[in-house]
Amino acid sequence: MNYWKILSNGLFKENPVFVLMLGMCPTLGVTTSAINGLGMGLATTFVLLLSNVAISLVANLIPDKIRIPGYIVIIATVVTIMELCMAAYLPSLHESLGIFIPLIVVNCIVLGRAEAFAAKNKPLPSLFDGLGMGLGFTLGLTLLGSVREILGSGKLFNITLYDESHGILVFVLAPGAFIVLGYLIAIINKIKKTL
Amino acid sequence: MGKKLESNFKNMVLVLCAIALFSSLSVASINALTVDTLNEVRLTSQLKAIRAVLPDFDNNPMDESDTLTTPDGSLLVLFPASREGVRVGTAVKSFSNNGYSGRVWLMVGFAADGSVYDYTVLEHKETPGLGSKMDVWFAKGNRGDVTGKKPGDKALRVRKDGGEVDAITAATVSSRAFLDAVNRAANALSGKVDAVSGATDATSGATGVEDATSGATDATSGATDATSGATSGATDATSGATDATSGATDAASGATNVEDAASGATSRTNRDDN
Repeated sequence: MNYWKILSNGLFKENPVFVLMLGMCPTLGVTTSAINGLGMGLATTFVLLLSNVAISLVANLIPDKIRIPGYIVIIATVVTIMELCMAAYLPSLHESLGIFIPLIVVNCIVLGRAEAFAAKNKPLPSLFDGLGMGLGFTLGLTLLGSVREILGSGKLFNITLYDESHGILVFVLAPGAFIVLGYLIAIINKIKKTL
Repeated sequence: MGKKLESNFKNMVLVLCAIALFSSLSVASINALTVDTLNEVRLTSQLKAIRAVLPDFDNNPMDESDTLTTPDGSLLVLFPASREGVRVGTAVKSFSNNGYSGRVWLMVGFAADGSVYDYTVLEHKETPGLGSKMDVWFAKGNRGDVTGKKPGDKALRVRKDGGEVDAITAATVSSRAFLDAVNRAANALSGKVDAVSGATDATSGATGVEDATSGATDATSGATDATSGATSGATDATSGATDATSGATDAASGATNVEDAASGATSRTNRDDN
């Protein structure tokens, strides 16, 4: 099994944000700034890693008909553990991501990867798949957050690039997320075609 | 990969129970591991917020804190701070339900004379780039500066509502919510406890009285006794204003003010009922 191939699959070929278009709720919701996108992406990566490994270990022990509830409970456990740790050790990040952390439980990517990859593969490839998908998600969210932060508030990772009063406010608001995502997908599809 | 477990009733129940048991065990153990750190983090961040809004103090305000409950079960917490035994101010954890989206939580620091010393926004869900500016907009030296004002004497309002505080550009709703939280904190501080936890129209009735009896300042404290409805609020205001005027030189004009106060309170109530 080629691990680099599995890893890059999630990063580029099947990027969750730009190609699979899974997990749109956090994608559109938290990306008001680059740092929020990065934080959410890394949190999801962590969950994906653990849940993929855990599910690939126990997949054969779970009867087919109850696999979805089984997976959801496992994922929820991982998310809850992560939320507790984050609240205790990274309180400021936990504050800014707020409601979106518990929502990782129902993030389509996590369940999607459990169902499509981890349930059919061994723990090690599943780990790489989780890592690749997670980093791909992080990449997408950070890119989206960066563009919105630059256009909307004139900053990048909280470093001021130009005066905030010249920012185009709509990009920080919900509609801006859709607009930026649409353009990013268009650009990425264009690049892919020329390659 | 081996063969999957068969989907019969016994297997399904057993597996789901096992997963649930394992999950609860792991969450419970992690919770036990982090609960101390979590509490510590909450306390530190609270103390940090209190420190940020008050002059230097050397007591532990959290040991002397006082909690008031509002009708909907929310808590207003008062943290008195003192230095070498002398009260230097009080931090009040307050909130407003009038935010653009969700509750706004503030920690407002009042100096010993009841004026706003400083504040910090604990939690809000206002629009990023608009309402979210409340964390600096109302601070010292900025456009909406509320420091040094005494919301206990006269409730703070934005200019649009006839007040004298500049609202955040394009975020009047968030600004109103902010001032609402500050006023609520001031009410809790000045002992308008009943007005806060009692009927809301009693509060606004008392406010009406305040406006009307600008001549007799002590009438305000009388009006704050209003617990049930604005009618009793106005009656209390009358006695309060009378107390006030006993010290004043012109008793007659004081009495006129009281009448104005009563009518002011009544009309205010009617407006609120609409």
